[in-house]
Amino acid sequence: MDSIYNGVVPKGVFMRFATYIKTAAVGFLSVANYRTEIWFLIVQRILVLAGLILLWSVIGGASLGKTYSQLIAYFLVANGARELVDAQYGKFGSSTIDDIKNGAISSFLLQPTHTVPFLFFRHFGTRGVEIVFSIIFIAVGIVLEPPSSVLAVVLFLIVLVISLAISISQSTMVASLAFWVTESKGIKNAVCHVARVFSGSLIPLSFFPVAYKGWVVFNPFASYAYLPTTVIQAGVVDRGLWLQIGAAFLWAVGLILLSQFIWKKGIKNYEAIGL
Amino acid sequence: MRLSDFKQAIKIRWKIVQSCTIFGLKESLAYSLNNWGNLASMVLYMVTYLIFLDVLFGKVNRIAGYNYSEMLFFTLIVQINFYLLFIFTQGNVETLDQSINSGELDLWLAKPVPDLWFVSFRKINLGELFFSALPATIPLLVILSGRWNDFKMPLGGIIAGLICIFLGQIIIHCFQFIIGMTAFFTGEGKKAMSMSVELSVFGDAIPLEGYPTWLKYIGLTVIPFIIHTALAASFFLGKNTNYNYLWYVFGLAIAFLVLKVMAWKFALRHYSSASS
Repeated sequence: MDSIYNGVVPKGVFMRFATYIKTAAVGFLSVANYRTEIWFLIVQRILVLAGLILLWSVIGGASLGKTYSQLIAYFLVANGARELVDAQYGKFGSSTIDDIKNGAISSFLLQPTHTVPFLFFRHFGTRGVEIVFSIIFIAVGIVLEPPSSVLAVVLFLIVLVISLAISISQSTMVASLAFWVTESKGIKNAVCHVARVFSGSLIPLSFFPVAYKGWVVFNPFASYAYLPTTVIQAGVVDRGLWLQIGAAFLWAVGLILLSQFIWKKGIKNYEAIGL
Repeated sequence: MRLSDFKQAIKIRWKIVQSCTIFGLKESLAYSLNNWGNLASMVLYMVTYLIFLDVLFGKVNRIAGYNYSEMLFFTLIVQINFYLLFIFTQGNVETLDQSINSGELDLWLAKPVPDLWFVSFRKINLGELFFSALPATIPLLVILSGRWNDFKMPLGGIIAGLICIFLGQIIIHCFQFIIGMTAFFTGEGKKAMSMSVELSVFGDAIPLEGYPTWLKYIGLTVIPFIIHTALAASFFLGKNTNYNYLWYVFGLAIAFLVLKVMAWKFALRHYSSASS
């Protein structure tokens, strides 16, 4: 063990993480420079949620078997969770596509770091306001519909980690397409649109017809919004919920491996200009 | 102004629109694979929204007095407006903000063309219209095709609806530009742009009759997100027959045009060039 930890590897790992943290801090500062922009961002996020709440208040909860408070709590947690893991607009994918398109990726590839984590932390730093807002949304949702057990809270946090892994994998895969097609934001948007409905952030997946509900809850996007919300608001964590968590975990592992494979293929295909 | 000067001014403005449209088309065709991506994105958006409506109407019969067919028609109006906004306005506000941030605007201002007109129609993306927006509307039109008999559209309502879309687009165009011009003072306009888009499409799934009165007032005045979509659809479907609204909308369009010009002049006076 000593031979490992006294050697190059730990130093390299720590240095790498120090680099990631610094990169995130630089990202945060670059956004914080434009304070008015932060206010605009806050208003925009409130508007998105207000629009959704208004729509559901018009539809009415009674006919859907839920109270207004339950619906609000659902959408607060669902959209907060989806935003927290960067699955709302897939902006990590957008920024990586831009880096590939304009050639900035070349300089990142030369750095002694893992490129995808480096890019993710750089992007992560720019999301300070979104993260704070998503936590507020989740907190208010939890106050409206408190969890019934400690297990529900622990599982909620685990599901968030799983959904973050799925979100990063999704963004990496979509961004990797830019190695072949140069501009792949349209494809990224297409995936985001599908995710919007099948994550349960627009409409709870439990409202789907019984014939589809059985398999819709097992789709990978469900872990962005529906699964974490169901877990934290469930009275009892039953077998069905455990199965959904298990399926989300398998999706995460599978998609991580697939995204790494596609990224590596893309790098091999990449032709840098100006090096 | 003499007639010949007026003719010349119109000619220059027409030439600008023409050149910018051709440039926009060439630019959008440059990334042919992304055009497929955009098409897939828009079609999927439409399909997922139709799934949303299907699931919703599996649980309820009406939303704000609109049945399934009427909601589909309302969605069509919303989509048409979104594409118009996307093609004529959003891209240009985004380009203006980027040019302010990078200092490229200096170059534009030095050109011997009407500057506000030029930045307003810098990029007209007809590629998006023909290769993404129109095909993406097909699934909705197919579903609607067997349902036209469900609607009772009065001729007056159709004309009023079309006027609302036209004037509403002008109003929302001016609104987005005015918000976009904050970049003159802040130096960066990406989030302002996102916010203005969000405001422009706010409540895009809610019919006019579903809004609380106070929100209806806001949507018809300072943040005009109702006119081009909800009000137009309400006229088309004959749910609103108060045509006096049209005078009001016409006045609002003039007011927003004047505001846009004033905001532009004010912003230019306070513009500290990034490149100089």
